[in-house]
Amino acid sequence: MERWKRLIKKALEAGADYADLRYIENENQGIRCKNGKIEDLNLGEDRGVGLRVWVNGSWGFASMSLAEENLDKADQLSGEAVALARAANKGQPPRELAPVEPAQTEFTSEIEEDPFDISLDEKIELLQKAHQGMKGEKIFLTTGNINCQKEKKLFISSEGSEIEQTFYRTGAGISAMSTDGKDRQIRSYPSAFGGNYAQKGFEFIREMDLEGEAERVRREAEGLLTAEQCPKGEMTLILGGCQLGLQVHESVGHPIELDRVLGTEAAFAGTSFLTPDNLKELVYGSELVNIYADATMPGALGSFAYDDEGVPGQRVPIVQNGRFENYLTSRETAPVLKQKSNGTMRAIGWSNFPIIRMTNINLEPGNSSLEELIQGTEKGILLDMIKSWSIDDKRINFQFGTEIGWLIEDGKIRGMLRNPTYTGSTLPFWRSCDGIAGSSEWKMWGVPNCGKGEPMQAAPVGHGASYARFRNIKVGVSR
Amino acid sequence: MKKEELRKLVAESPAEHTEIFCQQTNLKLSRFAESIIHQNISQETANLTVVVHDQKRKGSANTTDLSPSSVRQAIERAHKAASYQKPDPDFPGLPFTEEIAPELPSYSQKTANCSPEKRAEGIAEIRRIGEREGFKGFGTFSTQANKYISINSSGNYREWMTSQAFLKVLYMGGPGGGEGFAQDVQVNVDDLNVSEVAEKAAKKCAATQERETLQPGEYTVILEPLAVCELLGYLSFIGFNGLACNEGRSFFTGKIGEQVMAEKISIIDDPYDENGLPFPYDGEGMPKRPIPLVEEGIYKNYVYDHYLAQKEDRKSTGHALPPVFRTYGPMPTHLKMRPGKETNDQLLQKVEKGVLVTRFHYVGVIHPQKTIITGLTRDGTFWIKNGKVDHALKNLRFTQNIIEALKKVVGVGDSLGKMPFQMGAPQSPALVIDGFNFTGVSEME
Repeated sequence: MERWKRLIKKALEAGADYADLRYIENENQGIRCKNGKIEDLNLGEDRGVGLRVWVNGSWGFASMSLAEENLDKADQLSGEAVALARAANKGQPPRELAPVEPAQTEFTSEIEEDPFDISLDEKIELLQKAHQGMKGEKIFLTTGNINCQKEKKLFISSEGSEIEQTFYRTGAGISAMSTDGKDRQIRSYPSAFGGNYAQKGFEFIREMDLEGEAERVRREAEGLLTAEQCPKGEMTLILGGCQLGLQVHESVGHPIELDRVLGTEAAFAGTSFLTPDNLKELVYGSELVNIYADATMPGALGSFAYDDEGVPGQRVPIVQNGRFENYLTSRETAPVLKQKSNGTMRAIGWSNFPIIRMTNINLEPGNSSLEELIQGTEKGILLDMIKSWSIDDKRINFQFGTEIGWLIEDGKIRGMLRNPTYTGSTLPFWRSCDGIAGSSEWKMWGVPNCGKGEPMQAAPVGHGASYARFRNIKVGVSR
Repeated sequence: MKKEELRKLVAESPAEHTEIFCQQTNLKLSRFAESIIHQNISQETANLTVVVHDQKRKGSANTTDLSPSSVRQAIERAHKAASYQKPDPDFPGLPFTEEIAPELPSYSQKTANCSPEKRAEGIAEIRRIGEREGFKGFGTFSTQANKYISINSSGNYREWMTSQAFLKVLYMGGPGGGEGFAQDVQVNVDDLNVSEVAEKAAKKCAATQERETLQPGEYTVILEPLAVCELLGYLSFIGFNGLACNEGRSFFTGKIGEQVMAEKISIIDDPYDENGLPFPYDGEGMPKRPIPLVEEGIYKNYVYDHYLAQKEDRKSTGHALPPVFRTYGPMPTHLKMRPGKETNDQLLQKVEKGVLVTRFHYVGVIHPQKTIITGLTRDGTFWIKNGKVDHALKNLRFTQNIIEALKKVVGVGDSLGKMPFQMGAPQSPALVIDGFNFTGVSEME
């Protein structure tokens, strides 16, 4: 601690108006199983420090990985960061950072079973049993993975914050790929692209019951080979929670990042249609649509006690009864709206500069149910599980593909559909929402790799969702 | 780390076979918005991966601490991980070769030494050009120096360095809210012509002031080099990927010798090309070498790493990824499409009615084996009428089979553009494609 305080002090002496520092130690365990064979078993560690300084309204940031032999080298970071901030400042007017109350505190994820106390044997056996359950005549490839991370992060600032946070993150998933020689299909559980993640202990992975779900995954992967192609046309669409989480992520979560709105991602990920004149004015969705950014949910992947500027994690309304209420903000961007930061600045690891990130962006439960949503659908499709995704640089036009779909006719499920896709425009889509299932069908989905920033930073974020229904959506777009 | 230290650590490993791959990167990066630098960073990172095989059981471990004690601990962790594995009967041992890659101009000390002031001067020039036109500049100016080491217990040791200076400029603004983009990447920062890149972006921005809506449908397109590079990047991952070919997940599985694209298309993976961020060795320390993949539309070769090569009784083609990415399979990282002889004007004259695309955005794979992807155009999409650019268009969504598009190529440009990816850069000319499927428009309703 004293070493890092000294670094902050040196930064101030070198001319910084403000400085903060993150010292991070990471422990990772990753197991990847392919066709029952452990393809990769990696035990990783990393350690480093990143120093951010604010000089006359410009940021400078310097970071380095640490070895026992080079701890003293870290002392150079203060001079380097200040020099970078000075080089960035080309006469722009000084700006103020939004105020924050300094905090001295600690936080640790609430876990029941430390994932690093569970033997590798047990984890491997769990994946291999799931593989056995997924084996089938038409299954040519099965995968499974378990990932565990422990991140210890110290944040200190020149304003007096000293915050130690320890995060446990666990996740797992399985998938089966099928073929009949002509086509290939995939089913995954509990989510695609590596499964579901949470800020929980190993109990989270046990509760998934990968072995118990494996047979269904196999059955559906094989069933998709003979399923009907997704129909083309405009019809009613019901989305399952996993896919709806992605829909929230891409068409709500990213557009509300205020740094993106102000252009700092313009040349890379793009900007946002959600210009500040829309704040508290725009009808984002139907009156049923209520969305919160909630960093305070215990166990959710995007939760934390304090962000990487020392601002407390918060629960913030984003869309209330359909109306757009708030952006995700930082100490630098919030003053543009004459606000205080709502605490969403995070950097991935010690090496990166913090940027605005989603926390847990949740579509609140409604008062319907999946059964009622289906019953109220004359002709439509029910889709779930992320397969492909794409959205434009202003977050307006999107197209998503899912692993599986089901045809709905006259209020009943009629059969499985393969290669489903749907496309639309963000505001008409959310305004067409006419039903949301309730809390008993609501679930958190943890996404460990939300990409943003240059260099790219893959952030852990979360999305809560149940089922929701949308009218007159264009489906079946593929070629 | 020093060579002798690493040799000693590998020799002392308790495992039968030990491989170490280390990348040290010094990244300096300035991001700017509204022509003001909002992020100015320096990252000094190290990533070392140990892979051990003991009685054909494999384990791996990572560390960012390059001190001998830490590397020794990583070897121990990898050895522990291996003990939980079942033997892999296909493990072929670790590769060794005495072959040395040719000296390549892959590194520039000038790039490594580039100061924040030099980047700021470049961004000031971008600002000046933008202000002259009434546009605001957004983008990134970065320099990166990398040192790689690959060593294994079979005696292979390779050490090499690369650098890249990368500039992206997006102008936005003007009376109609235009957007124009250009970029360049070079090994030597002095070869980056900031003014030229900025002028190119400004010209695009000026031309996109009033954008009209085009109804979705199939149109003839001219894809500029950046757009084609994006297609090549995806084709590398889902198509040319040696493991995907081996596992039957690739379009190219079993198609060697078949006409798969138009005769005008030839694609080589050329890590030696001086213009394409040259790279001497692969992630196993084996020499990379040029390998033709498509010759006049006929598919020619699979790519291999050591493991897959032994499995198929072949030789490694030098396409192993570093251990941390190796489960994705061997992949070409320096795809280069052979340029044609047609100038940009000649390409335009081939199009009576069609769409000109500067670049793509947020591409997603819908069906990997069929190479169906979707994405959007951005930062300069235009309607072509009677061989001339007629007006700008709102961004369009496409949903397209890459292979089908490359079968319909009727024109190939005479100059190459490139786009940096991990450890390389695809290069491509512009293409005229007689049929490209646009499935949506990006506009507020």
